[in-house]
Amino acid sequence: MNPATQPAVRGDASIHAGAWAMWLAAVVAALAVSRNPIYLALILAWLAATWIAAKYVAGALDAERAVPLSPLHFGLFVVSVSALFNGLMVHVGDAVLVRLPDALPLIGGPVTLEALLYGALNGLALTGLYAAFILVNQALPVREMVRLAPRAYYSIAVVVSIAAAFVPTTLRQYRQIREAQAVRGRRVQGLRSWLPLLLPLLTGAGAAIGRGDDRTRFCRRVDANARRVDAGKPDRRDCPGRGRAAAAAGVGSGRARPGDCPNRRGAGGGRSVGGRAAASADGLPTGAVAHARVGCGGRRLVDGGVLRAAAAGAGPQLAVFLPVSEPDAAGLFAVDRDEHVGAAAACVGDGRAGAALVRRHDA
Amino acid sequence: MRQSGLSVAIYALTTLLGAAAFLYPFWLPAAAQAAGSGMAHAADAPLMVSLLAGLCFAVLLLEVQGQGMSAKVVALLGILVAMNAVLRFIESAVPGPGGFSPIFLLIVLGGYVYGARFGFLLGALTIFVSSILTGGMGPWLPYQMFTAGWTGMAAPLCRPLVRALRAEGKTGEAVVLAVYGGLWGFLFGAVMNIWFWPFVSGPAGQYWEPGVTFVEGLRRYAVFYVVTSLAWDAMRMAGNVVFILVVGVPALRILRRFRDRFTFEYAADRTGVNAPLVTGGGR
Repeated sequence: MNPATQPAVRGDASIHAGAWAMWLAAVVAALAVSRNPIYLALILAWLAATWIAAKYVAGALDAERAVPLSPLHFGLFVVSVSALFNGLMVHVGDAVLVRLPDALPLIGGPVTLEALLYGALNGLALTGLYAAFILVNQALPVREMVRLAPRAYYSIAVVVSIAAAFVPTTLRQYRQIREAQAVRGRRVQGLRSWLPLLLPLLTGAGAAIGRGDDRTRFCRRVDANARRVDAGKPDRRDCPGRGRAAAAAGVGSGRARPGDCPNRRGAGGGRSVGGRAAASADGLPTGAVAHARVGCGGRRLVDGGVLRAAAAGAGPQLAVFLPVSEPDAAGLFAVDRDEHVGAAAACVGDGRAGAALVRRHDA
Repeated sequence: MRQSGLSVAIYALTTLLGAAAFLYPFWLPAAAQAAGSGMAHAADAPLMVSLLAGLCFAVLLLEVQGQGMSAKVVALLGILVAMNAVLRFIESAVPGPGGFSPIFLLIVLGGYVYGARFGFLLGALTIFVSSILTGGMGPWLPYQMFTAGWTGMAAPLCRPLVRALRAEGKTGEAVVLAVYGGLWGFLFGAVMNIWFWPFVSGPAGQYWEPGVTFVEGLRRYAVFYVVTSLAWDAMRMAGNVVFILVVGVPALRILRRFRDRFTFEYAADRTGVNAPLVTGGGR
């Protein structure tokens, strides 16, 4: 099987994230210690070879990922600027090209070929650094990057996972809400019509409105909230899907019992902040789970302690709920340490933060 | 008590070491001169210093997340980081004038309200996550994380001043924070330039000549900064000041509300009444 015609699956069969990290460290170290033109040329050639191999042979580069500036453009700019700067500021060398009047501060004196060349070499080293980072950036999926986080930093890895999952989640919800509103015949014109679009987005209602399936549980306070969201609309029952349940904000999942609804009784025991801050477990993109399952070598990201703390302490403040396949009120917070705790995700509603900790059973 | 003393020591040491690492292009020539022979370690100095800065960062990160990272804080931090990263994402799509970036508002206010640890994490992780989102991951990333972290970490230093002015919850508070944000608008640029400064100026041996001292290095840098970055950073300064002045007061109110909501503690029920005592300013 020719690898050129059969590209490896990204982040899967391709190179391990740790290998990329080592490679990056090696490039950075090599570039940092040398200004010898021969060594520099060798390092840059090595970089280019890796780039070509990753792109054309392994097919490991994600062309979709944004590159701020192509390394070639970057190099052109940086090499010329640093050559110029060095040439003007440094007056060492024998091959004098021009002599600037000494009266000029700092730049006055001979402009030498050596200084110009040295500046260009500095620029080349900088370009190499840039290119190496861009390459790793394109070759490594985000979840692999976060997975590199050592075990000791797991709580920070959770924060990064939450934050990194936020954007795709919100975008997906935005699209769902817009589709739902479009089905209702609403068009977005002017500032005013953005309100029914933005409010469900902020209250985390997107998933439920968009899907509107009967797995969505109906909660009174959420409904009240949805009524506010839909205020001024003649009939909020004409939403897509299965009627009123769809208009209720995105709380709950098919796997949670009605009693688990955080709006009636907070999962943590007390009364929760209500539907406005409810986080939809179903609204989580699979990506969020994937993100959050990383860190700590892909083992357990959030250990039982954190989860229990969330359950015990967060009750009235956070709408924490744990959809489990076999709801068991007593066992809800008794976290089996052997289970994977999948994802921690949070959403903002009405300025309030809610967190959903999703416990995933091992498939 | 001992724990907090240790924390302060770690903060102080890592900050000092980090600052020294950032400033090495300036002290290296002088050190080499003092050693007499010249350039024994001029070539590997950048690498050593980067390693030093990296280790400092790792230690600081470990210390910062070590305590007080409850699930609530994790969730709040995650959301604030996400919002800030989105702001930076928007900024990279619709570039503002010069070095203006909307991210400093939350970093400054978050650090001011929630404390140094939170501010440090908010700054550093905002940079990290937004660089993931925008693909802007580069050799500057650790320096940016460090610097933005410092921005948030030092924000609580404004508290005594605000208290002295009796301006809590008033416009005066936003003014103090705006001045602080403006200052960091310049500082961020000045510190961030240093990461590539040795590449631009060359290693010490390149321009080493008798008389090139710490001061001379700083002078060169000052010229470089004024010529290339001052106008750019002035935009960041102005943006921070205006942004904090305009939305500072309501944003502070919201952040405080969350602080109150998130830092409550259940006290033991000593009265025999069933209702639990709630401390920490819950509403």
